Amino acid sequence: MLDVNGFGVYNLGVDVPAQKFIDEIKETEASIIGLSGFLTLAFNSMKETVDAIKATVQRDKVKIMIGGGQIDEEIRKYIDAEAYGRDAMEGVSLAKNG
Amino acid sequence: MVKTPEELYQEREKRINDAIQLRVPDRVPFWFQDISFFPAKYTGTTSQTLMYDDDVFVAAYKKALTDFEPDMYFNPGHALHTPGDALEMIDSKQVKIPGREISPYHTFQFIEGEYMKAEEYDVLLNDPTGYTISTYLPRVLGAMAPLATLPPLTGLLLGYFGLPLISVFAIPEVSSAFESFYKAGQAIQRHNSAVASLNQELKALGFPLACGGITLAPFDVLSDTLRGMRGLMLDMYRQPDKVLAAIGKILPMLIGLGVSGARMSGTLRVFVPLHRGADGFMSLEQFETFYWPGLKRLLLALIDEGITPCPFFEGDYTSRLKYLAELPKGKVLGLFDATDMFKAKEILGDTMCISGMMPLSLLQVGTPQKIKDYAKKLIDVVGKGGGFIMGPRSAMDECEPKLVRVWVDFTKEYGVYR
Repeated sequence: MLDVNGFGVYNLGVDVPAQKFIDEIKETEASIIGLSGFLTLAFNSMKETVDAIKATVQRDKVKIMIGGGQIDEEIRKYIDAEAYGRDAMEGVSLAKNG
Repeated sequence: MVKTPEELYQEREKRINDAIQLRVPDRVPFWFQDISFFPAKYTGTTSQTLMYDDDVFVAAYKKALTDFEPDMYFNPGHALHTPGDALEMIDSKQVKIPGREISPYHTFQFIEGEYMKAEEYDVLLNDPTGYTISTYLPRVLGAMAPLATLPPLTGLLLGYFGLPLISVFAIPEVSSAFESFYKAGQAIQRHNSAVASLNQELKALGFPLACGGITLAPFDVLSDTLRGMRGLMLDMYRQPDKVLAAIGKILPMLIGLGVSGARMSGTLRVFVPLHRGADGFMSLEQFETFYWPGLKRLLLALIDEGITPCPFFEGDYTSRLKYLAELPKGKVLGLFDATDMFKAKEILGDTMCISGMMPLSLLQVGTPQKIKDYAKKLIDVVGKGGGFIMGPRSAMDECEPKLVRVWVDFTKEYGVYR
């Protein structure tokens, strides 16, 4: 949906290690990072990924959005993402509105 | 005075039925709908062990359930389905197993794919059994690949003159395919018998089994296990008539599955986990055309057989509530996830008992105060006048036991109807 709406998208695939995120952010200079996690087991791995990004990349240079079935405001705060979307279209408007 | 297990059983059964039939129970009932592998976390074992060791499986579920004392319990047989050794014996291509492809601490995962091709609707419609044996099974079960070489078994309708066909069963690969079925069948029987003993024991301890049978909505069978999500989404545009015909074709089998499970167990409630009808997967128009009619027919058929269907409306059904309100009053137990609690009570409160809605986020990483505040809101809003059973939004495998304890204790205390 992001691609169709004019965003340049680097799709890293599934089960992506934190280091790959960090490497790709440095290489692409991406300003928006999206993390998708449907299963509740993803919450902790998403938190670890965001913690790793915070430790190595300037936090104010990127905005992080998350999405997935059980994600809500509680999880957004737990992971320290800027925003969460309840569906794909909401993800697009979050990206457009910065 | 301490109540006997029989008294507790009757008391819980009454509490559940009062809620389901839209009367006011003595307090808001609660259960671990979609308990998943929470007992592994609770008892300090792994999901992998649960899938391979029947004794550990039985002990873990028994401890979790007897410690928390829910008013009814999700069938452990529906949380696991098939033990790990059986899955290996038939070489299922549709599953990732803890300890094998994924972490030993995570639940098994279903691998969706386009196992049925777009051009195969006619075969499915004209000869579903033949299609299952010669095409579907060889694709999804590695051990069944040799079945693809079998000639049509209708050759045996020639009676005496058809018998030479039987020589195919002596082909070594074919014979070993049946041998795999036999071995896996034995493993599944062994596991089922452990589950049956557990259920008998839990009944004797005073706990009603929530659902004796399980079945699926016809659209979900096509989407989850046959065409895949993408495949069926395309089919809705490219061959809508075939989709509708296939739904009609498999519906009787799905009704039969639910009914037989309920009758065999003696518990006349049937679990129906739903997937693709939720908001975000299809438009309201597509829901009305493709998803809802088949599901509604399934639910009404179960009700006609004296069964209470328990459809799990996973995801957000806020936009679909007016359809759910078409169902007969007090005959369905609706399990809910992300649906808006206010709209659900407003639109559905007079039609069906609402179960679930407690966020997993709070039960996993929340605080005791946040849990109590949210549970209180649910009880006040959805539990008003009865018709509510407290439960988690979805699978509990990652829930924190200490937080679950806070939630359960609060529900029992605050949920009393005065």
